[in-house]
Amino acid sequence: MSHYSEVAIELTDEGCLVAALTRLGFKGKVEVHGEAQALYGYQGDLRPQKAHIIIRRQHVGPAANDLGFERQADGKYRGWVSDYDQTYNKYNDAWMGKLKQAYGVEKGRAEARKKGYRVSEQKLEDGRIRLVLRR
Amino acid sequence: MSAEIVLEFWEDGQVNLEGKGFKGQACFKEMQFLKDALGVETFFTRKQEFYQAEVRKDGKVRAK
Repeated sequence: MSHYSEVAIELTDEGCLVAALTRLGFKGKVEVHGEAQALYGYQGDLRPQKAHIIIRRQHVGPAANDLGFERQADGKYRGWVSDYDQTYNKYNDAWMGKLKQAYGVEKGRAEARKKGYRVSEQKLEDGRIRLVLRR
Repeated sequence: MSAEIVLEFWEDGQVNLEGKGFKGQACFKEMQFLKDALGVETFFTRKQEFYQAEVRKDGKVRAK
């Protein structure tokens, strides 16, 4: 071993974010928009937030609100999750951590392949996901 | 041992990156694209092999 780093994952890649949401069970339920679109609440009420990547409330959970990710001026995505869904539908910090984990795996795989690496993936018992990159 | 990069993604959104089998600064060069793509580096440390000299293809030893 010659070098060891820790990195805090940031959401910046649209395709990898959609792939990460798919990993977490939203296959075929993710909307992607070039322009940010309105989010709606559980009663169909218009919410003040907009997002480029959206999971509509019927896919989120009971009495849920739309869940969205808005691309900021700096290229990073900001998640919009209502207080209700964080508390009662479990889209809380722990879920966001798992989303970042899934995103990181997708982004790591994609970038490694661009550089010509072969990639193997392994899920560990403690929840970690390991990628090994070799040429 | 052939060089490889190991990434371990935690459920809290952190990732550990480890270069194995690299000599010297080749490790930095090989892993930088991953750091740039994934987010913000919060910690790093050099290991013993980082301080080993690189032997170039022409046989010359490159000082660290």
